[in-house]
Amino acid sequence: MNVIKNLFHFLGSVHFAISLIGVTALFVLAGTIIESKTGSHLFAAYYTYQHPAFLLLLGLFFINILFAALRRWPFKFHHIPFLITHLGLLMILSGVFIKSSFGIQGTMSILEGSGSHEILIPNTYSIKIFKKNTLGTVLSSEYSLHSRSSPFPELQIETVGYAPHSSEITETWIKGDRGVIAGLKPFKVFSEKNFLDISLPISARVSLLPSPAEPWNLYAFYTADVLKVLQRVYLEGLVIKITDSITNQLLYQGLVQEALITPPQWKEGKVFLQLNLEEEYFHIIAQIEDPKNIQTELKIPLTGPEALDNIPERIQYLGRIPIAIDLERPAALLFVQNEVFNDTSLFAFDPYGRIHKESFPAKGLSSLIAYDNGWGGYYAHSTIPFSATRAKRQQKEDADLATLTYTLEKAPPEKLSPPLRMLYNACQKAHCDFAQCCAEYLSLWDKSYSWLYPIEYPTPPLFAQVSKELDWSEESPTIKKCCAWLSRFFLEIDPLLRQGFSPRKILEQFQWPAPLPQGDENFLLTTLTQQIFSVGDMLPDNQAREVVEARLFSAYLRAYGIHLQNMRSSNEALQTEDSIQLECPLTLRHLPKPPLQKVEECVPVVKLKLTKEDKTEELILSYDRSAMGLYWPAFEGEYLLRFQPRSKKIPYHIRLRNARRIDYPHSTQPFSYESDFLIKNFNPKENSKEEEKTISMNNVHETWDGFRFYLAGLSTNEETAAKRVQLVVNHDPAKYWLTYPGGAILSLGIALLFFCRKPRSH
Amino acid sequence: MNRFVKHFLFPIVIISLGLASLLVFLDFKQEKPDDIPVAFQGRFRSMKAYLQTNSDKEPSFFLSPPSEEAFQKFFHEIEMKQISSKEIFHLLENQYPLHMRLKNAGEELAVLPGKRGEWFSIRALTLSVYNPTTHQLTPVENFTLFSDELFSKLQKSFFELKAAIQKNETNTKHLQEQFFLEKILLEGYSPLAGTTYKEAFGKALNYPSFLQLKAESFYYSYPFIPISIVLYTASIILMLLGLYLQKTRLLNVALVAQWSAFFFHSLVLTMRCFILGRPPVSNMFETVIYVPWVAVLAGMLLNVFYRIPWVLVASSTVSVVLLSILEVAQINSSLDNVQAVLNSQFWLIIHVLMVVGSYGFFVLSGLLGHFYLLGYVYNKGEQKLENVGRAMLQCIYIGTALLISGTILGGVWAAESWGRFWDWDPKEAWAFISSCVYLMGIHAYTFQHIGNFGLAIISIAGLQAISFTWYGVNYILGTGLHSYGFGSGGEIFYFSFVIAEVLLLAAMLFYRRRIRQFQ
Repeated sequence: MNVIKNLFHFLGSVHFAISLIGVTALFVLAGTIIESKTGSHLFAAYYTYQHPAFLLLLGLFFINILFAALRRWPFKFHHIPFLITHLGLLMILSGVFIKSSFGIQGTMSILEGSGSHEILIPNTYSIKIFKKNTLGTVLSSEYSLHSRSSPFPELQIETVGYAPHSSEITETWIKGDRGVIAGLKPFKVFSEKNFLDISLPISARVSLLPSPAEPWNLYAFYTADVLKVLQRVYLEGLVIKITDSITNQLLYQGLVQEALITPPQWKEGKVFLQLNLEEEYFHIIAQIEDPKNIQTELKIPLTGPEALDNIPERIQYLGRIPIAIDLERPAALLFVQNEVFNDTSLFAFDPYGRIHKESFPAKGLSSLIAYDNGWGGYYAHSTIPFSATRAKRQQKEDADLATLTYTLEKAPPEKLSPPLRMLYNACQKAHCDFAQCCAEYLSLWDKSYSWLYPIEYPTPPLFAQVSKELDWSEESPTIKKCCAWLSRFFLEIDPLLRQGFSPRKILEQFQWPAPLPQGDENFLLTTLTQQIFSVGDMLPDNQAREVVEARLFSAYLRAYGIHLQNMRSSNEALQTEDSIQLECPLTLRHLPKPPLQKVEECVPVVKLKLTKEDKTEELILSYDRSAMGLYWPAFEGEYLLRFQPRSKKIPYHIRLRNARRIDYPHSTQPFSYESDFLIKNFNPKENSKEEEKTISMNNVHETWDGFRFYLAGLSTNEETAAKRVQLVVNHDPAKYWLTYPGGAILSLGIALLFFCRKPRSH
Repeated sequence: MNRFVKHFLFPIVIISLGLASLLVFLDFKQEKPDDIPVAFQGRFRSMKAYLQTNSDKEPSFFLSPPSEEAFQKFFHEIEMKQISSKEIFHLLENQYPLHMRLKNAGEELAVLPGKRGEWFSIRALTLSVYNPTTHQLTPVENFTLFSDELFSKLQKSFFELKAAIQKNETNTKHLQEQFFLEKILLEGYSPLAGTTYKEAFGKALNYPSFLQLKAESFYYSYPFIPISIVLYTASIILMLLGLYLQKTRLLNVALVAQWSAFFFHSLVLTMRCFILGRPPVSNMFETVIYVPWVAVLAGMLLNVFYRIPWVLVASSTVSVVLLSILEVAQINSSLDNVQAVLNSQFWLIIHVLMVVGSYGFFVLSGLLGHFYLLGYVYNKGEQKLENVGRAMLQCIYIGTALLISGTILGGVWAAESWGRFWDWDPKEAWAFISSCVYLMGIHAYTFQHIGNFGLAIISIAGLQAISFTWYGVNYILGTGLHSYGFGSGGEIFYFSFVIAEVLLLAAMLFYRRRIRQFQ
């Protein structure tokens, strides 16, 4: 009895109280230091605020205060302040205890326009399972990691593995040492290291196009250097063909690999090649040195809509060069996985050397295919553009010319510009097809790489037929003279232009008297042409040289700014791009890692063993903190599972209408966050009308039964994007009768203690 | 009671009357041309003062901003090209949008209220825009909230003043133009003063009223904080002399010095309060002014009841130390926008006022603790120190009551607006630790385990906890939800201060043991 009495007195004593206060203060001190060092509140809480020893301290506090009060029994008047103070403390302690055990504290994340009545309890772990029966009805349930009972009777779930932290790798086309393309047999993946000096092996040959086409070679590698593999595979069997585009005569044919080392040569010409695969924009640079005094640099893009086009430096005003470069290679698909980052790249090389590249990063794809909302699994996909009609450079140019011909055919004659109308009238007289004639002329002129039609070039056959009918005095009698002067003038300038001199420099050397515009060289040449053309009739007659009609006509066209390069229309509407579609099943690989100090950022991973009747399946899931990621199918799409925080239904449906952030003027500092909600109560007894409410920071909505909705965060302030709002939902059953009154009573008690103090006796 | 009136009520009433009459004086003060306040990036000062402070160099706000040169160059470039005037207009607007050019005009003398609540520099008047009908660059059109008529008058006056300054004309002409300009600005602003320009749910932002402008201009015209530091220092010296020489007259002079120091101190607080339209406790700078103010108030009150001038010395010392730290450390002192979380709730403000107010009492008690220990060493015992001990106890009591109630109020506010009552956030945790230190002292003292000496030790130890709650959580730990006054710097000084205090406490405990043995 005495022991109990002593214990009672000790537990209610002031010594005990002081030591308790001191120890608690030390605990809290340690907590704040840990939190500051690790940056993790949860980590600190695990060792201090939520530690059983700390909770025991709080319990002892409760007992100490209670006993200290009971010890004073029977109470006297002067005990009242003391009692009030300590009653307040007891009330706060019990209020906080009731809130943490029976209250609700969760988060809800809603996108503008959508709604929800489910909240997530942060820092809890459960498996959410959906089941679909044959009729398509979906049942959902949750499975706690520690419970033995399964939410569906036919399904047994067992947790067989757990890691507190992990990282996730998205696997697409390459999974381990196997490559996978949906619908094809798995193929082998090689390590590039083993083939440093010998030629790279082909993993498979597959037909990706309708049958007459050659099958594609399929390569798959692991490597530390993706670019090197790309270069090696691309050069394998890549052939360069150089043709004279006027006569269509093959000038040179050989492997690019060799051509890169020894520059290809033909009777008079030479070309230096340079292959650029380092940047995103793959292209070939060809330095042309030609006997006809053409000095230029051709750029041949290998990707994009301009792929395989031969683009000379001065295509804007001189057009194409009379030499064409084409590529040829066996079609191939290349999969390369970076050994360090596990990112996969897909390269497709079509038979004409075009390259298509797609990347599949290991840290999540930008798009994927979800069959039947995920019940049918997830696939990564690739679209390789391929055109049957516009694949080759020649085909593209022919198609462009055909489009031009078509446009000219449809053009009403009265709307043609004077030079074209002149040609049209001549064609009518000579009974020749205007559109054909014009297109042929323009295309040959375009390939000459000079400002005017070269005098030494053969006259285009159709144009030769009509040239006698050209009526030069149709528009004005002096035109022919002006054109002759233009022709004469450019006889000297054109060779210089072809050698790559800048028009401005040439004119400076010629000491050109008239003012010329600054800037664009194309504009400069046009202005020059117009200047000569306008003063041509004032110049003396110029009959020194033999005049070629084709050249005069080109001068006339230039005066009106007509050239094939200026007439090329973007005929995208006419392009019917076909494509090759590839898919592969999407899988994840999880690498367990040591847990982080910042517990908030750990991604736990769990390995589940699912048993249904006699079938078993293992499934690895990583924690989805925001519960917005993918559900993974099990048993061939009978179940869908996700590892996420525990969810809880609340009796209110919340729909977000609009959210906004208001900033201080002239700054990005927020002034207020606001959002408008529609709130509907499910409780049939109550008024279940939808109500519209606005909540903002510090402006909370509280329902009649104590559910409170707080605005905790807003995802973005872009006006174009739908905003996502983070709500905190909370329900505290004790605050109005324990916590808050406790606080008030405690404050009152302290005030009373202060005023009604007995003078201290010594 | 008589003493209460004489030593507390009287000075407080005088000071309040002084403050009120100052505001009234500002309101009715005749507006002479060179006193017309001009908006200055949310602050306000007279244009003349601005010109005077920048008189050594050419006033740069009359020159076009640097970005304007690029704009004009671009215009001349595209003017050469043969494109339509409409295209020129769109190209210019695409490349150099007007609102960006207005913003790039700088923040110097930002006196033109824009249409979306922003302020533009008077320099923006030098901008030009392209007129598609005349194909020329013309001065910018009205972009302010002023009427078009007033704006063109303003522009005219501005260019005339510019011409006057550039031609170096006589000062009178110069002043005349300036007077016109200020008058127009004033006329333009008067319908805006005090009106709302931005609204949000449950709160709004207003243009400052004229009185606020004047108050701000006044606030920036005199060094009030250094003045009060000097007066407080004077009061300390006089009071110590008076106590040493036992001269009542000197003590009275010291009292007047302290009151006037307190007057300027209150002036700073009320001015900030009035200009910003909120209590001045939302960043570190403002709390460092508020805490010593509370300490001085507490000192005056305690002196009434316990008749110990030492309390006054202590409170003046608190003020001198803290205000000097403020001057030396150069904490961000501008009249800033307040964080979105802080600027609406009444109860939040009460919570902050109570908690930060308690720091004032604790700092005072800490200083009294030092005095007590000094006296202990001086007297070689606890004789004659009764009253200091009692004042210390009162401070601890009031401080603890304020701290605990204020913290609970903060918890209630947090529960109401964030949904959690208590979460061991570092600021909360340290408020808890500080309360624990003082509660231990109070319990031990009440049950007679310690005496005044122990109380002095506790009040110094508590001062360390409070200083960490106040400064350490913001500047050393730097985490948590109370991130309004976060910053960095001064750690070395702080730690040396704490170490010195710990050494002092150890030395005193050792010394006391020696004295007891001796006795």
